[in-house]
Amino acid sequence: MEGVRALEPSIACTDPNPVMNLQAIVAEHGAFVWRALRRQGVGAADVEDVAQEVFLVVHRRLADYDGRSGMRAWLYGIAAKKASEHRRRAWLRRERPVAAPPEESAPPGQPEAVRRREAQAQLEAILGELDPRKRDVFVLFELEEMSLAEVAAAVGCPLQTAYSRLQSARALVQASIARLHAREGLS
Amino acid sequence: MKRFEEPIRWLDPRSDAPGELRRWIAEGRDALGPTPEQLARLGEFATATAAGGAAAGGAAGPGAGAAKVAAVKGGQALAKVGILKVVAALAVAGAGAGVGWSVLHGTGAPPAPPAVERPVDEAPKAASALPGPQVAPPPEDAVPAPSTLDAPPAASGTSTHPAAVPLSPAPRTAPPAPATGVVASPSPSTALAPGGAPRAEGPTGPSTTTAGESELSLLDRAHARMGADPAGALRALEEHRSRYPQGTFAQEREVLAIEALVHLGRRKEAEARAAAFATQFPGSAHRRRIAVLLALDGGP
Repeated sequence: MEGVRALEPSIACTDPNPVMNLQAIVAEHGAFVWRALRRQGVGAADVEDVAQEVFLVVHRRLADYDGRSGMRAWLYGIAAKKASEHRRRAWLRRERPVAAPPEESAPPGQPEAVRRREAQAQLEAILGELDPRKRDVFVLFELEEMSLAEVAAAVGCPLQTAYSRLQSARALVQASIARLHAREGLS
Repeated sequence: MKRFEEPIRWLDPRSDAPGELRRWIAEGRDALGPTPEQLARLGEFATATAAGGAAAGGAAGPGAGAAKVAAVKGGQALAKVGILKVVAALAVAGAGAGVGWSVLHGTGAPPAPPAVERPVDEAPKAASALPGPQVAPPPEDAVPAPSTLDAPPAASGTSTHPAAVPLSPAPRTAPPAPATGVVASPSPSTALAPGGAPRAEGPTGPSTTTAGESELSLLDRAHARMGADPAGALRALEEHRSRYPQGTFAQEREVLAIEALVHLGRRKEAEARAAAFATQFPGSAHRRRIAVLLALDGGP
């Protein structure tokens, strides 16, 4: 696909130094994988474990990574699979899904932290209204700043589909905001 | 296939996104991410995993996987155990607010008694009471997670990487950042109470030390002062810049400096410095943090 950017050429699969390689991947993309897991319903208490599972898989399969879809798209696929496994296990164990885990409690008090939490709450409220497939595309494109081609590779859909999901998600988000304004106007 | 023009991202000021949405995205998108400590632990895990795989010649891969599955089945954080305490400078590259030096401090820890073969279930908690890795917590808005103190030097029951988890009390294995190895910081890490939540907010250490103050402790000082005394933080950062212009933590210094300038209301300087940063470190993982910092100042 012509739109795919060649990403992270420095992390090629043929790197002779697997130590540096896995470290480099974690350093560069650890936070991304973490967020992806959280957004896929892995709770705050479990995400560290699941992230490690993801990177164990990465470690094992690094030799198979062909670089075509971009590192983040590849990682996202692994993370999504692990998150799904985790959700299944969580369901079996605790008989409750972890779709809406409680947020970590950063100590309040700092204006910046408070603002950030408010922004986060607003953002999550809006995202929560989207259906998961649109949300995934929206998050990867708008929040994670992946190219649309990368997004398509990550979620495993044609570029065209990713495009229309993004447009549709955007329209819904705009509508949410408009509703929010309307409510604020009334109150 | 039909070609699509790449849409303009909503974060881009040229887009037609509502302003508050742009701010929500800029400020809210990292909220689900790891803390610097968590990210650093993940980096340590990578180090241990990769080292194990390399040392055991491939056999460690599947073994590690099996161990991990067992850990997850047990519902315990097995894999938090048995990780080398390594100066993982790479892990610093995270996008969090703090930049992870708190963990780097851990490398200056005195040799902990090698806790061996601790049962899986209570290992993290038990080990956190050891006089082991000193991990100064990040100030202010970081989560006061007791697990920060975990990262025990214990090998777990299922020893995944025998080669990677030496019982020798020297937890420094192949530090990728030699410059950080010098963290013989004379400062606050000694204030650690086992299991307690030591704070690095105030100038608990020798606050005006300059001679011999390491690169890292200078940044640490700046970081600790950021909330209450951004001007003081900035001074420490300027000192860092003059002494370690191309230091290992030059990027982190710049991010902190931008933060301090924003706090001081010196927005123009912050922007100029951000622009210089973008030029100097075009691919940096910190650019997102910088964008957030600048968005903060520009918000309503």
